[in-house]
Amino acid sequence: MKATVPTRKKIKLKWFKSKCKFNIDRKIEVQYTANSVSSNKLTWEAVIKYILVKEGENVDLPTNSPMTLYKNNLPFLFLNTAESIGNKIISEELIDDDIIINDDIVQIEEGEPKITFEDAIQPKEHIEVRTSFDLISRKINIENKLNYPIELVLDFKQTKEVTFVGSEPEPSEIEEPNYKFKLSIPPEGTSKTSLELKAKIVKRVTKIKPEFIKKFK
Amino acid sequence: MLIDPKVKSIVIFNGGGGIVEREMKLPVQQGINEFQIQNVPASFDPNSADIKLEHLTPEDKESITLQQTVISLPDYKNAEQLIGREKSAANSIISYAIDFTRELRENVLNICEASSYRMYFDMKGTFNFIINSTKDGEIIVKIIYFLSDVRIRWNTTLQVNINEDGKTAEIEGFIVVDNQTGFTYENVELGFAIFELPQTPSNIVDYQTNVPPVGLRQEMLGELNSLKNIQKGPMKRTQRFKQLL
Repeated sequence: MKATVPTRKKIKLKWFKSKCKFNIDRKIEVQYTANSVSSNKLTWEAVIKYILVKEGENVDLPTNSPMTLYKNNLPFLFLNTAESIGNKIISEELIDDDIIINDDIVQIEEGEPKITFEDAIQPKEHIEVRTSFDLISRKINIENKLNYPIELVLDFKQTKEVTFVGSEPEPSEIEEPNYKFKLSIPPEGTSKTSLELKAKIVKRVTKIKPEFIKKFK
Repeated sequence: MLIDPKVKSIVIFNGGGGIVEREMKLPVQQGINEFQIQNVPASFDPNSADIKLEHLTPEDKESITLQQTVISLPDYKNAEQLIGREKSAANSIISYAIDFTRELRENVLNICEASSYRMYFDMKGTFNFIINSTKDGEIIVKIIYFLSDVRIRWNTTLQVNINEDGKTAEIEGFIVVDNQTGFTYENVELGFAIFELPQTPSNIVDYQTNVPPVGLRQEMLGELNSLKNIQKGPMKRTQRFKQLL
């Protein structure tokens, strides 16, 4: 294209205009550690990104190009692009402040501890290792504060310490170690997901070996 | 002979800088013909500067040849001194101008603004070339050079109008060219490339580091990406527009 680029000025040129499919990708990633799984209350954040599938020729966009979303001819959200692959333009990921997630403990069933010993630094001492498998129930409450329905994916990722036992509702997709729940939440509505988890809890206590404990007469 | 070939095209990099192509038809006389190109910014890369001859007839290939190019950049310290003097003169104009509210205001402001933004890269570089010819004739000369000036760059801006169904949209893409250099490119063929010049003292704002520009091509061939210091900041939060009335 031909244009005049004057000194110390900005010029704006039309590049392309086309129709596109507009997809919203919302997800909540949940992952616990042996410590956090028994917390009374946890909060998570919903991450949102927009995926535009453009019709016609592919365009290469530099990363971090400003993007403005308009609804009813009014600007609705200002964000940047993260990448463009083929005919897909993908926005950066944002934390969705209109989705509130509360994750509360419901119940802990402590398992029978298995006691083993390890050597300590001091020869008169040893480390008592108490390993138990606790069954933990948690409830994740997701609140949609928007005035339109949303769809999102709750993605629970199990770890070597915290594994999945069951859930209500059942996961929509299992691809270990990920258990995905596809949820639809009505406007200003909530969605509840209960998780049954097994946590490997290991407690270590350094103790004096019994043979070295002085007995008082 | 002083010549000012028209800028035919410029390919601008999104990270700043670009490739300039200039072209001109020149008369040549038998013997040595020396030409001096005007309006070459000091941000041009001497290592990548190139002259290409386009002969009008096949016979000219033997008779009209490029002998050599002579390239140099202005002395950095002297240029900085000159710029400093210009800036102080501009300040004096603003301070002492009597008739600063009438029709001259716009012109005075333009002069002063141009001076205050001027830096080393806005000075002129020397780009001469010598053509050897065994006969009188004409030749088309193409001059190509890189600009290692991050003050000329482009980016895109997208407008996405979401339709009522919420599943389709209309996307409009714009290219915004930001030229903060002291040079105007009039009616040129514009090209755009996704490319980032290495962030070295040669092409970032030099006036603070006092480091004169160095060759660009070698830098470009180097490990471009290793020079990028990408640090991810905290994730942004949505701030949706909520209409009250």
